[in-house]
Formats: sequence, structure tokens, C-alpha cells
Amino acid sequence: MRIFSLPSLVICGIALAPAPLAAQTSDAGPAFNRPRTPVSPAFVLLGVAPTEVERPNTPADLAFSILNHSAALTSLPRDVAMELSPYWLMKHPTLTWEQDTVRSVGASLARTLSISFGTAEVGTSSRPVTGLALGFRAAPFSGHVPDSATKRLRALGNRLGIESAVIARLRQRRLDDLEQIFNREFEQAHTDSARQAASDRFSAARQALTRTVMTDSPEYKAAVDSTNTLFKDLALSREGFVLEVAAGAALDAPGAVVDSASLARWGAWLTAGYVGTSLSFVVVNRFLSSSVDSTFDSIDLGMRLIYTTGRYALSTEASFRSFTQQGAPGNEYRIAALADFEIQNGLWLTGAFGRDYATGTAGSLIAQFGLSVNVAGERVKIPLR
Amino acid sequence: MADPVAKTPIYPVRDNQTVTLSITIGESQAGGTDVTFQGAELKTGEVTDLPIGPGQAIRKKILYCLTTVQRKNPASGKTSVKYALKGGVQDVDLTYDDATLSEIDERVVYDVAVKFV
Repeated sequence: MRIFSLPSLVICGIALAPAPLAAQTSDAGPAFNRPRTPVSPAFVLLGVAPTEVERPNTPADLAFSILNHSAALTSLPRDVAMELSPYWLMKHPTLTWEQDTVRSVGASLARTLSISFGTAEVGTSSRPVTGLALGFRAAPFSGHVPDSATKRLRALGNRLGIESAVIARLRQRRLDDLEQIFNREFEQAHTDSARQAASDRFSAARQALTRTVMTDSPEYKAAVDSTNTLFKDLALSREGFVLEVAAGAALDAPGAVVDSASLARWGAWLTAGYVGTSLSFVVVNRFLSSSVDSTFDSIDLGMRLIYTTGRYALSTEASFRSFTQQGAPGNEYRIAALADFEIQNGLWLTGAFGRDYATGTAGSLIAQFGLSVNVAGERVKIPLR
Repeated sequence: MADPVAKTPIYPVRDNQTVTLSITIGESQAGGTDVTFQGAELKTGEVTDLPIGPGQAIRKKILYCLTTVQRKNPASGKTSVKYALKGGVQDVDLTYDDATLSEIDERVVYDVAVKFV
């Protein structure tokens, strides 16, 4: 696994120094997104952007990862980036998608809780420092799947049943032969183990037959393509009130010595909002602190309102930052309005107007107009995950 | 597309008792089933309390259930299909969860043939 340490400038931008924040480009999206609840708080506090994150699917996978990285628990793990959801580590054979359309607070917390853990070298070659970070994210409220999506999911279930029927029809003649062989073997078997062996052979033969139909049949492929076309934009996206919380802490351990480890940074995030069909708003709050240099400990507060309909998208955002220590720079704020209009399919006219944090620096006036091409995916991202 | 999962469970039946089948697709994934018996299609789509037939009429025969599961759960790629059979010597829940799907919209087919004895 590889972990790239971000340049120190980025780390400072996240946690400490005001200079990069004031010098940021006049792009409303990134400015607003910066204080949002991160997917993996541990990696943010560690200042790394791992290219590969381990996501164990089972308790056994998790145990293997821990033992693998820690040399059987005899040393500090190196260059680890791991994220896991305790609820989804376990099996849920009776949890249907229908039951997950609406969640109680407890169910929402359980199903959205994710824990991130990372280690990385954050020092220099002459002064090696191992950074360790642990964080969590959870949503006590995660909205609901809208009626329009549940209707389409039911329709998708019917289509997947039809795909299964296509397989059943295409393999019927060959299956009749296999069934005759199986019935004969089953009748001739006089022990449970012999009957089980016959069943296993029948399973293996059917598996091979089904695989052949799925890979070789143009009719089945056409059925799959048809379903994919009909439901390509269907996702289990949720609407309604959403509240996300996240927190994390990072330790620095010079020379990878456990006794030398001390708290270096910690942070907390709160994101609340409402996602509607056309109107969405979100409020974010972030607090970051560093025990190494507390001068730039800060609180960020941001808000964004988005209205989307057909070929238009209008949004406005405001961000406020306050440094909490004496001698730190004064409060800063940024406000911007954005508009997108689709001139023709995939071609968007965009405009942004407002002011950036530091009004005295070049580029602090936000006034941008231009064309952009967007042929895939959502043009305007819903602000909440 | 993931490799199909094939199983052949054996289900003892009783005379004069109708066997029914219900299928639950778990792990918050989408899916649909095609049920065939004696060459005839009994049901396509959702399957709940589907009557198969009285024990004496279905003994020694095979019920085919082909369930296509598609990953729609962004939080987990696990898949699971539970086949609940009632009306036989005893009620049973047969749960199969062999396949894990790494990508959203990826499919797996569970091919379950119930042999009635």
C-alpha cells in the first residue's frame, strides 16, 4: 500500500496556517467543501491522501489486516490506511432495501458509523516522526429513500426477475438432461453422503450451465443491457434531514517510539442539512486544533443553499472563520453566488460572483463566467452524502 | 458479473400439506427471482408465500429458483438470499451468502434447486 504525504502547505491549509486559506482560488465549491464532514477524519488530521484504503468486509478480514500490519502486534503499524463500518462487517441476511428506506436514530447511527485509522511518516529523514490518527463519522439522521426511488427499485426487482427468467428459458433443454442424470444418481444413492455428493455434482453442472448462458447468450446480454439502460441513473440516494458528526485525533511519535507519542492535532465536524428534490441546504461547522501551534486553532461555519430544476442550478454560499487564540488573525468571511445554465446537452454556462476571505489580496473578488462541458454524472452535486 | 452460486438443498415434505416458498434478498440489495416447477413458470419478481403444491404431488420433483441480485447498497457489497420453505416435515430457512460484489450495479445469480423428498 502506498501513502502520499500531502505538501505541508495543504496540511497547514487544513489545520493551521491562514496564508493558504487567504490565497485560495476564487472557486466557490472547494471553499465551501473544505470544512465539510470528511469521509475519513483520520486521514485529514494525518494530512495524507492514501491512494489505497483497506476496507475489511468481515471480522476475519479485519483481524488479518491488524495482524498483518503490526507484525503480530509486536510493533507500531506503518503506512496503514484503513476504514471500516462495524455494522456492515456483520451479515444482515434479513435486511431488505425496503427496511432501509427509513431509519430510526439508532439504526442510522449503526449503519452510517465508520471508523478510519491511519499511520504515516510525517517527519523528515533526519527526524523521523510516525503519525497515527483515529477518527469516526456517523449520521444520527440520514434521511429517507424517496417514494420515486422505491417505485423504481421495485420495478428493478421485477426486471431482475425477468433476467432470471431469460436464463431459465435458455438453459431449460440442457437442464432437463442434467435433472434426469441427477434423479437417477439420487435414487441409486443409499447413504446421506452419496445423496449429498449427487447434489453437489448437480449444483456444479448447473453452475457451469448458467455461467455459459450468461457469458455466451446474446439474448441474455440484451436483457441485461436493457435493464442497465432503464435503471442507469437509479441509486439509493436519500432525501430529507441529514445530520453528520465526525471527530478524530492525531498523535505524533518521534522515532516510532510509543512512549514519545503525544497529541498533535484534533478536529470535530458537524454537518446538518436538508436534501429535497430541487431545493437543498446544508450548514457545516468545523473546529480544528493543534497542540504543536495553537495560534491558528479555528472554527469554521459555512452554509450553502442550492436550487436545481431542469437546466438551471442556482446556489449561494457563505463561510465564516474565527481563530480562537490571542494574537491570531481577525475573523474572515467569504460569500458567493453561483449560477449554472445548460445551453445544450452537456454544455453549461457558469457564473460566480462574490468576495473571498481576504479582501486585500489579489483575486479576492469572485467574478467568473465561462463555459464548461459536463456529459456524465451530476452537474450539481447534492451537498450531503 | 460475479460467478453464479448454485445449491441443491433437499426438503422432506408431508402428504396433504401444501409447501410454500418465500424469498428474502438481504444486505439491503436489489433483486428478483424466477421460480419454475415442472417446466412451468410459477412466479417472477418478488416471492412471498408462493404455494408450490401438496407434499404427495411434489415429492421427488425439483423446484428451481433463479435469483438475480444487483448491488445497490453503497455501504456493503455483501449479498444474501434467504429461501423460507414451509409446510414440509419442518419449516426451514435456507440462507446463502456466497457472493460479495465489489462494484455498484454488479450482479450475481443464485441458482437454487430444491429437491423434494
